Amino acid sequence: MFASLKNKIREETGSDLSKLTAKITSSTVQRIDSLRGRSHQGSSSSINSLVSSDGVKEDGPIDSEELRKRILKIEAEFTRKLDQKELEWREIVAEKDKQLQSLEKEKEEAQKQIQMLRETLKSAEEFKQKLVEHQEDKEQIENFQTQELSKVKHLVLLREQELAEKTAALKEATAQLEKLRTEVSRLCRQEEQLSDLQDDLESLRHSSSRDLAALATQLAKSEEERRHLSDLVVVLRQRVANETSDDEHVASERRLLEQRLEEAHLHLADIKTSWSDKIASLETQVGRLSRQAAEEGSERRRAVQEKETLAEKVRQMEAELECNKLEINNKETKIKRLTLDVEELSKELNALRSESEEEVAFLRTQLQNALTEVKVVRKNLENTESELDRTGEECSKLKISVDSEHEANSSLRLIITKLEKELSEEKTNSLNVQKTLSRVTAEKNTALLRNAEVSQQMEIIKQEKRRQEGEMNDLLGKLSQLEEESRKHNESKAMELELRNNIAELEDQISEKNKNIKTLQLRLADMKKTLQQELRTPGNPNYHSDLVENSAAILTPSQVSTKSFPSVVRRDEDDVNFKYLKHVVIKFLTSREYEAQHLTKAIATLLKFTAEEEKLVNDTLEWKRSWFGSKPKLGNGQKARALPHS
Amino acid sequence: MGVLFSYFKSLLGAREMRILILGLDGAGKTTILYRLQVGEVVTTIPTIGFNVEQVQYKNLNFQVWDLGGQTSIRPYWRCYYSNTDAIIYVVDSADKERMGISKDELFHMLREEELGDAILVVLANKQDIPGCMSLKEVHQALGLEALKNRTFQIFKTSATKGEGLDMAMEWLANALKNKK
Repeated sequence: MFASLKNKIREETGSDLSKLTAKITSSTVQRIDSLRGRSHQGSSSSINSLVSSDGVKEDGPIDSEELRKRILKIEAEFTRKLDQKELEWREIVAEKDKQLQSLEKEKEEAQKQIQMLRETLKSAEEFKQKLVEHQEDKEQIENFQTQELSKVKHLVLLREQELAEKTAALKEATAQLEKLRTEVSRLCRQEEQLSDLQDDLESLRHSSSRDLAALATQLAKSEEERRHLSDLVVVLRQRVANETSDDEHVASERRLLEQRLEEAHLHLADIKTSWSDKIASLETQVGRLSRQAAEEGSERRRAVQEKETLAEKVRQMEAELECNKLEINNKETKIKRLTLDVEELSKELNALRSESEEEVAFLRTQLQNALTEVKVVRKNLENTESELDRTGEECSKLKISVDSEHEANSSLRLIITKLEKELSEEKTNSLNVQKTLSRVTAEKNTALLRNAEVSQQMEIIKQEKRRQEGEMNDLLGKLSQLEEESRKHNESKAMELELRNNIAELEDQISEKNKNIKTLQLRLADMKKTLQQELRTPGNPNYHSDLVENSAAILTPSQVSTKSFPSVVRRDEDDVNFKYLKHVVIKFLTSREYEAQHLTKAIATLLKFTAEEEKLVNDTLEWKRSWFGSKPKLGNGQKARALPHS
Repeated sequence: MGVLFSYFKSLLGAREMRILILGLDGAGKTTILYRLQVGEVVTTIPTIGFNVEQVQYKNLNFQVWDLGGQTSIRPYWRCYYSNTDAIIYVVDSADKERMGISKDELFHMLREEELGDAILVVLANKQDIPGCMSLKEVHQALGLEALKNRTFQIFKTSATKGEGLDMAMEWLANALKNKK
C-alpha cells in the first residue's frame, strides 16, 4: 500500500506537470474536490503538527519546487519510520504466531495423550470386567463342585444306611438260625427218647407175647389135663357101670372126683380169669404203649418235618447270607470307589480352587497394576490438562498481547493513513492552482475533440444500422426459404416410409416365393435321384429322355404335387416296388401267423388282389391258426386257388 | 408249435401292443427301433420294406414295426394301419427343408380312420446335430397345435446318443396302460 503510494508519488514528481494534469480525468478531479472539501475540516491539527515538526512556516502562495522538496523529505522520513515500525511489528507478529503455533501443537499433543490415556483407562476397565466375570465363573464352578460333592456324600450315606439295614437283617437271620439249631438239638434228644420208648415198647411186646405164649401153653396143658380128667371120668363111670357094687363107694368117689373136677374147673376158671385179666391189662398196656408210640411217631414225624423245614430255612438263610455278603462286598467296593471319587473330586476341587485363586491373584495384581497405571495416567492427564490450561492461558495472553499489538499497529496505520491523506491534501492544494488553468483549456479541447468523435461515431453507427437492416431482410428471406425446404423434406420422409413398407412387403413375398421354389427344387432333386436310379437299371434310353423332358415340363411351380406323380413315374418306381414286394413276401413267408395276418393286406395291395382273393388268404391263415374248423373252400381243378390237400 | 405258443399266449392275455414307427426316409426310424430293442447303435441301410421286432418295456410287450419311409413306398404304410395301438412319428430336426413334407405326411396319415384310437408320439430326432430346430420349432413346423381329440406328446431325442428315448417310452407305456 505504502509502496504503491510511494511509487505514485515518485511518478508524479518525476513526470511533467502537463502530463500530470493530462492524466487527471474527470473522476480524479471529482475525488480531489471531495478530498479538498474534507481537508478543510479535519486537517488543521495534522498540518499544525507537521508544521511544528518541520519548524518551517510558510505563508502566501507556495512555490511548487519547495513544496515538492518538503513533501519529499516528509515522505522519506515517514516511509523510513513506517518501514521500521512495520518491520518491527512484523517480527513481533511472526514471533507471536510461532509461539501460538507451538502452543497449538502442544495442545494437540496433550489432547492425543489424553485420548491415549482414556483408551488405556477403557482397557483397564475391560480388564476389571473380565476379572469380575472370571470370579463369577469360578464361584459358579465351586458351587457346582460343592453340589456334586454333597450329592456324592448323600449317595454314600444312603449306601451306608442300606448296609446297616442289611447287616441287621443278617444278624437277625443268624439269631434265628441259632434258635433253630437249638431246637433241632432238643428235638434230637426227644428223638432219642422216642427211640428208647420204642425199644421199650418192643420189649414189652416181646414179653407180652412171650407171656401170651406161656399162658397159651399153660392153657393147652390145663385143657389136656381136663381132657385127661374127663377121660378119667369116663373111664371111672364105665368102671362104675362095671362095678355097680361099689356103687356107693364109687359114687362117693365120683362125687369126690366130680368135686375135684369142679375144683379143677374152678381153678382153671380162676386161672383163666386171672390170665384174661392179665392179658387184658397187658393188652391195655400194649394199646397204651402203641398209642404212645403212635403219638411219639407223629411227634417224631412232625419233628422231622420241622427239622427239614428248618434245614431248608437254614439253607435259604445261608444263601441269603452269602448273597448279602456279596452285596456287602459290592457295596464296600462301591463305597471305596465313591470315596476315591470323592477324594479325586476334592483334589480336583482343591486344584481348581488353587488355580482360580492364582488366577484371581494374578488378575488382582493385573487390576492393581492397571489401577496404578490408570492413576499414573490420570495424574499425567491432570498434569497435561493443567499444562494445557496453562498453555491455553498463555496462548490467550499471547493472543491478547497480539491483539493489542494489532490494535496498536492498526492505530499506527490509521495515523499513517491520516498523514497520507493530509499529504495528498497538501499536494492537491498545491496542484490545484496550477491545474485550474490548464484544466480549463484541456477541458475545452477535449470537449471539442469528443464532440467530433461522437458525431463521427454517430455517422458510423448510422451506416452500420443501415447495413444491418439490409442483412436482416436477407436473413428473413433465407429463413422463409429454409422453412419451405423443411416442409418439403418432411413430405419426402413420409413418402420414403411408405415406399419402405412396400419394399418389406415385397421382400416377404419374395422370400415366400423363394421358399416355394426351394421346396420345388427339392422335389425336383428327389425326382432326379429316382430318375438316375432308373437310368442305372437297363431299360429304354428313349423313355428316360422322355421322362426327363416330362418331369422338366411338369416342374412348373403351380401344378406340382406328389399325388400326380405315380402315374408318370410308374416305371421308375417299379424297381423299388419290386424290392419292396420281395422283402414283404420273404417276411410273410418267414413270419409267425400273427404277423403274417398283418402282412396280407400289404401283399394284397402290392399284387393288386381282388377282395375275394384277399379274403381267401385271410381265411386260410385263420384256419391255420385255429385248432378246429373246416378248411375254406378253395375250388377244384382249374379254378383251384390252392394246392389240393393230400 | 408256434400256433400252440401263440394260442397259449393269447389265452394268458398278454397281448402284444402293436406300434408303428413312421417318418420320412433318413429320419432315424431303424436306428431308434434297434436302440429300443438291443440298446445299441447299429449301422443301417435305407429300409426298403420294413423291420419288425419284439420290444419289452416295463412288463409290456411291444411289436414294433419300422416301415421304410422312402417316397415311393410311403403309400404302402396304410397297409399296416389296422389294429395299431400307437404310432411313433420320427422327424429329422436338422432337415428344415423337408419339414413341410413331413407335416403333410403326418396329417395325411392321421386322417386314416383305422388310426382313430392310436396314440401318437412325435420324436424330434437328431437333436445332437448343431443348428437343428428346437422342440418348440418342430412343434410349430409340424402344426401340432392343430391336433385335437388325440393323445399325443412330442419329445426331443438323439437316437445315436440314446437321449430322450427312455422318457418317450415311459410316457408311451403309461399312456397305453391308461388306454387299457
